[in-house]
Amino acid sequence: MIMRNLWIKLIASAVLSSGYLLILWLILHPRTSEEYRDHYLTRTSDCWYAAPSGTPADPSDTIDFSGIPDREACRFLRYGWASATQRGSEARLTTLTLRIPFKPGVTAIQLEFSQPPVHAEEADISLVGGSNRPTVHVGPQPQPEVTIPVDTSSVNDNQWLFQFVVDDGSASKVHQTNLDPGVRHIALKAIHYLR
Amino acid sequence: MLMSLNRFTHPLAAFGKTVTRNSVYLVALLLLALKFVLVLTAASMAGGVEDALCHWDCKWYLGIINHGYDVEPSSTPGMDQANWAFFPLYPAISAIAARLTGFPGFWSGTLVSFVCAVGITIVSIFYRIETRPTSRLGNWVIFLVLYPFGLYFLFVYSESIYGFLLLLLLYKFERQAQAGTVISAGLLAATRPTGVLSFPFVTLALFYRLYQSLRAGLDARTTLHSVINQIFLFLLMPLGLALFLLYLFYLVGDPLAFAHVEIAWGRELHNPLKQIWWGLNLNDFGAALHGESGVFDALIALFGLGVAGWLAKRRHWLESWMLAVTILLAFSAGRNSIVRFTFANPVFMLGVGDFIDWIKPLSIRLLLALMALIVQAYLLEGWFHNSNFLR
Repeated sequence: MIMRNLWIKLIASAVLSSGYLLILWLILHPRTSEEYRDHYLTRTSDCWYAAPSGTPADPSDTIDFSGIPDREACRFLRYGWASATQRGSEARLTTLTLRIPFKPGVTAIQLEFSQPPVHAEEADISLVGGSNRPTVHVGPQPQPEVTIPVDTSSVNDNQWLFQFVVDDGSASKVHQTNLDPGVRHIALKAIHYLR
Repeated sequence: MLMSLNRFTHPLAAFGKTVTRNSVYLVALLLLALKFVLVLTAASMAGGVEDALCHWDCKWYLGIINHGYDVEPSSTPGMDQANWAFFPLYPAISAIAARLTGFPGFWSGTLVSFVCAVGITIVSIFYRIETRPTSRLGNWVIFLVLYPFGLYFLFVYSESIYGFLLLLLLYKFERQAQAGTVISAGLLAATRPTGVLSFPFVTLALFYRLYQSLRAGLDARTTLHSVINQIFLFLLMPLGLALFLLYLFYLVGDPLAFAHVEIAWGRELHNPLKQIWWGLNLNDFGAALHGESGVFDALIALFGLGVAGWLAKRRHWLESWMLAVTILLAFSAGRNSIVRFTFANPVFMLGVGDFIDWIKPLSIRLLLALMALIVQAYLLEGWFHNSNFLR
């Protein structure tokens, strides 16, 4: 009886050890969705895009953020943007990212902004990756529009990635990561694919 | 003979006479039931029991009890809304209770909390008899009922089951019941992340026990038996936690989803001592009533650590360890809920109970009891109105 108990404990210990080793392996090799990886593991997105099953359809040539739910906007507005309002989606942080799905034949992306009503803000927008990495500057006009040339060399994972650095005029901007939540900020109103 | 064994010789201070141990349990449970009924009555008069009692984490637990764990978070930018950070034992038992009784999620959760509060009462009396044989149990029973933060044991929070399992762990450890200790530690770790903090201490105790038996010069067969037994117990301990990790992998593909969602909430681990020092330097004591004061939270953490030190001085090592590391781990991830993690911790209550027991004049004890009653009513009122301080 004692020997039988001993064998049971021995086998149970072996099973448990193997199970824990398996879990350790799973911890080191998570098998998550792309969205989970961006949101929780690499922290390159601060929202959650609920992609429909299969490949999501190509977006239309104009994406208007003033009338789009958060869950859908997150396909494009990956990091640092607030929920969309009629003005579009406001900057929440000083550094933001925008992801635009690749569409064949597109030569430039036009971004349309709304400035805050009381003070104007400026932003530098740069295309990430590729041989041609243009940077454009958003000036203080009330309804600024900027056009950024794109090509296939900058397509990564079937998308173009843009980085924004917003200057709201505050003196401490060097160390600032959160924009003042009490005031309005520059907002991205729409994206247009240009051919 | 049986009668004499059953007789408990410590006087119940409130009654001033020798009573049986069963009477102590009976009085304690009657008082707890009375408190439960009073809380429910007050809640029903404050706009409905569920609306008045279910705030903060209760909503999360209700979500898990009723619908299980989320497959994905909601999408509000900068605000992660997934319930993976909540460990499964409490919602799982509550969901089973809901199935068995047909109660709605809130009431099954409340039932589980109340049953565990009964468990806290009984095990804590057992434990105090074991570890503090000269203490007055009457004081402890009254303290348990009047202790203001004991209110959490009646809410749909994991406080009650965690408290019960922690006391069970302490009791089994004190009795040197190895299997009971390991199972309690395992269940504790399936209740809350801080339950894992019992593992190092229990592991040390298991292998020290093995070392002792090996030194005793046993024959080869008994030695082999001891080694395999201790290894088996050691491996059994994290089973509950491991099953939760496996479930998270099945659900979202990441066994550490519970930790990653906490990090996305801004609860990253930092040096807790630096965090406490930073809190002390905030100079925002005025915000304490809104639950936003860093100084206040840091002082509470220090107070809790002081009680842990006091318990260590009295050689209650496991108690001291569990209280200190719980506070430090909680504070390292941010000062949210430090009031609850400290004051509703049964080990903290044991320490404060020792202090109450040390006070001799009846008039001071009565004054403290009155104050506790008033504070309890104040906290309950605050809870009804969603007070940030209590979350």
